[in-house]
Amino acid sequence: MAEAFQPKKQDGCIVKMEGINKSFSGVQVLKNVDFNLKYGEVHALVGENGAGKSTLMNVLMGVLHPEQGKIIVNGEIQPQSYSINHALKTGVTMIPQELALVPAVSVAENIMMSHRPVNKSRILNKKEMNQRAQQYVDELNFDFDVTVRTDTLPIAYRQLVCIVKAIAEETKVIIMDEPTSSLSAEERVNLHKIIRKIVTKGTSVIYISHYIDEIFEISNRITVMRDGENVGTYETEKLDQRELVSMMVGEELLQTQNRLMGRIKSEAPLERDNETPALEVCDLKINQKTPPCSFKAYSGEVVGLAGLVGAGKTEITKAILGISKFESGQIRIKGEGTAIKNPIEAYQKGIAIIPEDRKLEGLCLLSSVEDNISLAPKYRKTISKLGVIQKKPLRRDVERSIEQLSIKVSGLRQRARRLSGGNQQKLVLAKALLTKPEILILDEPTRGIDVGAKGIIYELIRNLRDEGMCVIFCSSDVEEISLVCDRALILRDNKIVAELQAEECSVQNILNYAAGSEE
Amino acid sequence: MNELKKNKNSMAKEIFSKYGALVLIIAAMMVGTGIFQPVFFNTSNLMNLIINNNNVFLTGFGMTFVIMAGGIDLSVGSLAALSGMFAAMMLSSGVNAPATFIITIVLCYIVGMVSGWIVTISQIPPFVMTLGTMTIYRGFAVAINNGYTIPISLGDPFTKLGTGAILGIPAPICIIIVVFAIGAFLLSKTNIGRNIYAVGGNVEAAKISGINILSTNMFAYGMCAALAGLSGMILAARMYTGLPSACVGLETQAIAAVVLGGTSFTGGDGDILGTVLGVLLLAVMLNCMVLLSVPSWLQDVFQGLIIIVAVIYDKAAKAKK
Repeated sequence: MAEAFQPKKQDGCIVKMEGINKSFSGVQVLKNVDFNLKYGEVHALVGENGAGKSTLMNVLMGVLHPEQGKIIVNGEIQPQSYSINHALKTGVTMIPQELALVPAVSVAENIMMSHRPVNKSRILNKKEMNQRAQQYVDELNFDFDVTVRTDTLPIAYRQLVCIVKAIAEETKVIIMDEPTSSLSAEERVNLHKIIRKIVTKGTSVIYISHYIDEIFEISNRITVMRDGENVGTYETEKLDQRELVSMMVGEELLQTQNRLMGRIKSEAPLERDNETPALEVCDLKINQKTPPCSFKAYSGEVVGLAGLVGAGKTEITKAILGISKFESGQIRIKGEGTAIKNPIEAYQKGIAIIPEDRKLEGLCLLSSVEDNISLAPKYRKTISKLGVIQKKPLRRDVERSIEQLSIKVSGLRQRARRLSGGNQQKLVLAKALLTKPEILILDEPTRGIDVGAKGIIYELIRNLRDEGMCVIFCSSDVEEISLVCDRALILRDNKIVAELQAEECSVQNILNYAAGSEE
Repeated sequence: MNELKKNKNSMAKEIFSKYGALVLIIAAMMVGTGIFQPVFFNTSNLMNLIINNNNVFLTGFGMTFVIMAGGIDLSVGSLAALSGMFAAMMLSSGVNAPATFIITIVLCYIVGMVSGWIVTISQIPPFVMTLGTMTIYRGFAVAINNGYTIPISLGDPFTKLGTGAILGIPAPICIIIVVFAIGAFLLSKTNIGRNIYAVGGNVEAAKISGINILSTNMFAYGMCAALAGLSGMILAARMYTGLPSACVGLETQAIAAVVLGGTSFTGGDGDILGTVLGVLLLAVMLNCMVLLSVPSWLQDVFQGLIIIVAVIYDKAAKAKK
């Protein structure tokens, strides 16, 4: 860290990645990817979920090891044993890397972690440490006190701490993975200012984001990834938004999307005024600060809850399910006011959920495919006698689910951990569907899964709707809202700011409401 | 779909790949010792091997339930001592044997359920909770007769629990077989058993799938405590005495057996057959060392070493899968 940084400017690139190949359990997620990053540029990396952006960055960070390919940092070919320690030593770091912060020590100590000032007898000079850390913070125009414990800061601030830390460590390459997803509009502007400031000092930034506007605002160059391939690297000035989107999405999915959209458009909106809604949320307040929110959802309808990350979608679904408590308001199922205290009662009332994070909340990763699909007790009770599970109907149902959702497994006893993200998500879906729900709540069901699996899930949702299920579809991926929803509610800061019918659900329209540029 | 059907019949294969190494080590140890000390293969030696370890078997089975549910129970040794003392006290105050047996085991089950209840509701680490109950139970075990033992009369039918036999098979062995069968059945074939795997595998996923975490944990800890109580009573019956200082360190052996059997220490993976092999490995090794007159301090060292090595091996093997 101490030695002066001298760029070797033969080709103007600090990072070059050549012919990177990587596969997970037989599925190739990076196919011969080339990527280069110039000194002092902001390079946007874009692509759909599952396009391989994160995998590529994890290779660059030394977290994942490619089967093939070269990594060249600052003109030096990195050895086979390239690891995260190499990456950090050569000055490559990733943000947010919340795990890189120690929660129970002060912000200053985190910032100065790798070069704490000590006196002659190697005792920590706290005063100097705080001063120097505060200097870095002030230089970047942040307003937080470095002497507080790190875990007392809100999450968004911890991300800023990571940035300060990276700068304090004289990092050459900062990878920012969705850095604005948890920031307010104001903080976002601030972050962009900081990025511009640090690139003038020679630091290079790789900026991963889903927000097209942001990418055009901040980046110098753009690399588009799709299905594990580098579709192309372009100067930002030479691209327009439409071209970028078509490159990101790809022809095949574009067709599926058009088909689904055509299907929605061809159906006239139904008159529902005389019908009892399957689910009605009345003046729900999550806590004292949040505004009340109300909406209705009917059987045979897909209602979208759209909004940026942190807009309050998950909080609403968790309140409906009785996972988290809420301040006031009422939830009515088929016109009946109910107080659902926990998920057990939610299932009894015919509600099932696909939680936001399949690994943390959806699956037992060490358990088998069969055990995961049959995880819900509501289903298991239907096939058991006196508490003993009947093997035959279980096998039959599990095999049927696997076929219905075309889940790719090597056997019923295969561990869930071994499956790809898309197949894992299908397990969670299969589990929920076996409980025969009347109301299905999906929270970010397509996050981080491949394009093919997405298409299957979209079509499945539409089919379930046609069979009369009431589906609540929460997503921060604005595009998919227009593909599956009959109606969309746009959330911003825990408030429903708009209700759009299918024909009004354009990406631009939703984004405008979600990001708050239009009232 | 055909591929899936083929996989159905590979259960035997799966069990072999899971436990093959363990079985081989046990077999190798037995053969090795048998060559040097043919007395090892005497029926009475093999019988005694199992009878003497009946408390490790039974508490190990109970521990499997708790560890599988993602918990741990350090109190089994103390509870075994307490249940032996309690049963001896009941008998000496004139309660008949069957009533003593049932009351003791039900009380143990209830005590266990309370532990499970507190662990779930208060969210304190089970390690801390049961460290506390471990001390509490030992305290009561000593208090029952001011630190003295309580004798059980030789002719009392209660002693049949330890010394009786059914069709020539000693009672403790019969009990182990029955408990094993019930435990394996509960864990693999019933709703409550599958709930235990789910809670241990991923408590958040279990909660969101509508599994009742509280009742699952109460059942797991209840089973563990009941089996600890049962093993305490068998010991008392075999010794004709309630011993307040009995079964010190039993929890260590039970946990070691479960972990040696390949059950994941964080829960959700493994089965009760593994625990049987884990106990056998510990027992056979100890017996070998006694027969080969290995000094007792070295026996302890080897036992500790094999636990560490086995778990490292298991972890490496699982990472490969």
